[in-house]
Amino acid sequence: MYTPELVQQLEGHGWLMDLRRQAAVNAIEFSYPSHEDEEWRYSPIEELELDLFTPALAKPQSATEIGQSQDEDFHNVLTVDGFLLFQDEVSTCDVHSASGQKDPITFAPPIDMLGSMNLAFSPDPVFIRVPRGSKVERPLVIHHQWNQDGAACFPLVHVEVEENAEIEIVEIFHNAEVSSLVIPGTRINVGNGSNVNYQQVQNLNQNVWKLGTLDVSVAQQATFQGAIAAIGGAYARLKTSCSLSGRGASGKISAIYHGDKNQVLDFRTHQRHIARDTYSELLFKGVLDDESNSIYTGLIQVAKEASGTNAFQTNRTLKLCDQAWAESVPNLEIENNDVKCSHASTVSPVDENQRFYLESRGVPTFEAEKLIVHGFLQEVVSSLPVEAINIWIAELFNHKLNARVAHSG
Amino acid sequence: MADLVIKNLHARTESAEILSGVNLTVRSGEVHALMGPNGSGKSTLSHVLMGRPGYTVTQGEITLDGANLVGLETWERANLGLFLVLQYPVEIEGVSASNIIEASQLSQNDDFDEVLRHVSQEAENLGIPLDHLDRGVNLDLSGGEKKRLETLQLVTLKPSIAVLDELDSGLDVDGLRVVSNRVERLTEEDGLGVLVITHYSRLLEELKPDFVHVFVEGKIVASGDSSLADELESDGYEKWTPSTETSVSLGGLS
Repeated sequence: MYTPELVQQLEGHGWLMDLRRQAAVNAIEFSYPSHEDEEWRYSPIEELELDLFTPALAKPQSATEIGQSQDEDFHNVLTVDGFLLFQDEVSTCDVHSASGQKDPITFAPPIDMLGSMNLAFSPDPVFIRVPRGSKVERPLVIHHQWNQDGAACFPLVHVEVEENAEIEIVEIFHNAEVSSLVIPGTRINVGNGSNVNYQQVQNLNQNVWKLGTLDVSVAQQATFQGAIAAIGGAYARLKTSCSLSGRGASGKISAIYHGDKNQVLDFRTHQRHIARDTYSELLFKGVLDDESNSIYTGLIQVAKEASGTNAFQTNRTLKLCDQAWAESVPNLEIENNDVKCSHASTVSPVDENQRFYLESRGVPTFEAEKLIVHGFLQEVVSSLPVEAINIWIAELFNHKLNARVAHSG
Repeated sequence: MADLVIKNLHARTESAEILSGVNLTVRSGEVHALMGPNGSGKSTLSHVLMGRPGYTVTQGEITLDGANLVGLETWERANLGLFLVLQYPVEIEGVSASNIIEASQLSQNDDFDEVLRHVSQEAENLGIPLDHLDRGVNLDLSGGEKKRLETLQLVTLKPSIAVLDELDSGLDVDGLRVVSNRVERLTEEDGLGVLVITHYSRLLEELKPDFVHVFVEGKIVASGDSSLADELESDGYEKWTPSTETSVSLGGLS
């Protein structure tokens, strides 16, 4: 179904159509993901039947409500079914659909089937350019929605931050109560001396498969601070790659997640130290309730040339239920001796001593667990990179925590 | 008036019996000191009273104001008015002492602003910097600072009977004085009944016991007034501990 011919139904200038056709051809040539591949290990990917979903290729007639953060504190952008339907005028940066652009944009070629599908079938790749020296005063909030039952959607966001510029970007994924497949791709290039704060909020319903990628490249003396908040989805995956490609580049990535029922939350991370004196720090913390699963596999890779690297990686998962299950696999691949690296991972139930301590102060068992979970996530919540929406994210997690049903025993 | 009554209490872990027939009554306003050698089961008694998982009561009873505590959840015992100061207060990231006081059922009927004012006032009296109230409870605190924070929770949550498991450990002389004076005042002004577990009589110079009990091999083997603590201080526990032969035969039985 996902053939190069399908691309014809989309709009765009010649360069983009060529790019899409090539990506569609590549998507067929790349091997289909299998749980035998390291990067799909432990995942239920083989349960996915692509042909059950119809690609959304027609522009929706009307936009639904924008969602949580529609107010003047933000610049808002809305995509529905992958189509760019709305964007605020922003004087300090340029936001438009690549399908309306005559001059070619350079997109790095995708390296796998899903990345190729994203590029091939994205109807409106959202292109954001922050000019040199520019500072975008308010966070740019991109709302991705899709409302058709059985649809496959391919939102794509490409951010080009030129030298010495600053921007805060939020991507919010939320959708109507439909079952669907979304294959989103986000690419962010942080130019020399620039600062980018990025927050992704995944608040999907539990009938959605999300197979996302986030590719970041950080140039000389530039910083990237990104965070992922994951709550929804049936199987929700995000593969994050952060390349520190310029000397003195720094990349921090954190995540909080809360799974329940039969959810599977899947995170693959890659901290790539390419240049000298680069810094990366990763902290992923999550809780699992009921029979939910989480998968974390992370790789710190330090190239031969990347002396003076500092790289840290921590994943901690708290299990609220015996039936919940977590895989946590950190890895190091270091080709230089002058580095400081560490990795740590834990999967543990709620600490019995902590629960006893709180109960001995008159805090009922269930409330004690909630306090412990809340405190556990606080380390990440208190340092999320886009401050203006931190309270909203904390509320999303509190809401899920408060909706918990008490388990016996 | 409240009373904690322990009758013929036997309790065990999976591998061994630790409490072998404890009898003790603690009433409002009384201070009881429980002294004994290492490994005699003093801390276990405090945990069993509070219902810590991992122990099974095999015989006997524990009642607080007539209500049977055995089988109740820990927080239910706390709600009835029992409080435990742990020998090693637990650290919890992201959960502050203020959070705990707010979440406690014991403060639910009070105006929380009033509670907070009370907490700040008591913190000052106990020499606790205010930032200790809002960071993860007990994290990065010295042993003495933890015990001050335990005392603050005790004062704020107003139980009727408190078990203080080695409140003195970690506290320096000044800290010991501040904390034990505050507890003593609770017994006098609020009628708090106290069971204080300690190795040393140093604490008892500040917090004057009405009764002293010697605890050996899971039960009380002697009781007396505060002069018993002085005797233990000078002579040790040798007089109360079984001879080597007895130990061997007890070991053979268990």
